[in-house]
Amino acid sequence: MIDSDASIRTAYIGSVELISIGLSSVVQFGDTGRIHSRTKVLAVQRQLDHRVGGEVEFDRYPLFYKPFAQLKESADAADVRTIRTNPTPGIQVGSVSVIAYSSAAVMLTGNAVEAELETRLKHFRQFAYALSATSASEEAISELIVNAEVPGSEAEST
Amino acid sequence: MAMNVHVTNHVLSVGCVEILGVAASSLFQIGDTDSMVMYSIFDTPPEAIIVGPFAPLPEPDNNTEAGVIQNPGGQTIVPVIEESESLQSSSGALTPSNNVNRAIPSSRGGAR
Repeated sequence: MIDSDASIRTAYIGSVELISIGLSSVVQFGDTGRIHSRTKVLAVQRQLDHRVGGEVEFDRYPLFYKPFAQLKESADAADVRTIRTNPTPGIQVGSVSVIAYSSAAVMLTGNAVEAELETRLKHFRQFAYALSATSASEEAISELIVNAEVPGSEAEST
Repeated sequence: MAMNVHVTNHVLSVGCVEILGVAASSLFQIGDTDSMVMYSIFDTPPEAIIVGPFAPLPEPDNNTEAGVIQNPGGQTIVPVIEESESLQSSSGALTPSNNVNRAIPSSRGGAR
């Protein structure tokens, strides 16, 4: 448990410059109670037109739904008491400059009680042929793959 | 027996902060938080680098687990990544027409 004295630290920031905040990111000026941020990424790099290769589903891979290891002891059971005093009740920052926030990132200029952040990422790299391949026929095959025709793609698209 | 931790926050004064990027469930905070729990799992084992005949990555199907795909000839093409089984690749020659015929998912083309 955390015991604080009555003074909560307030953040004083001179200037903030942000260029890009995307893909469910949050920029907050102020306090918050609980933050719960989750990111799931499937990064598929294939030497193949994705319209031919097809789509990928998250729930096919256990990485995206298996539970993380929990701490064996809860915070209360650990019986740690934090006594916090703030003689200088302010945090001063001159300037903040961030180019990009992405994928459920959070900028919080303020206090929070609890934050839980989670990232799950699976990365595929798939080549048409081995890098050391020298045979011309393999290259020809990979050319065919890479330039494969997508039959009737206009008619099929939803 | 409780463990007591005393924290005294004196002056905190920062001139300038420059960050290129904050990504993937990260938190940049100027302030205090009582409790933070962070998890991250990243999977790119050597087996995830697949060379050779393309097979569609698996469609949702509650019967089979992702990672093992068999073409109609019964050859395993994609290794099971989580279980660290050995890499198996199809030994047959690749024919592009196979990919084109099998790989188009129904009504899933395009953005969702």
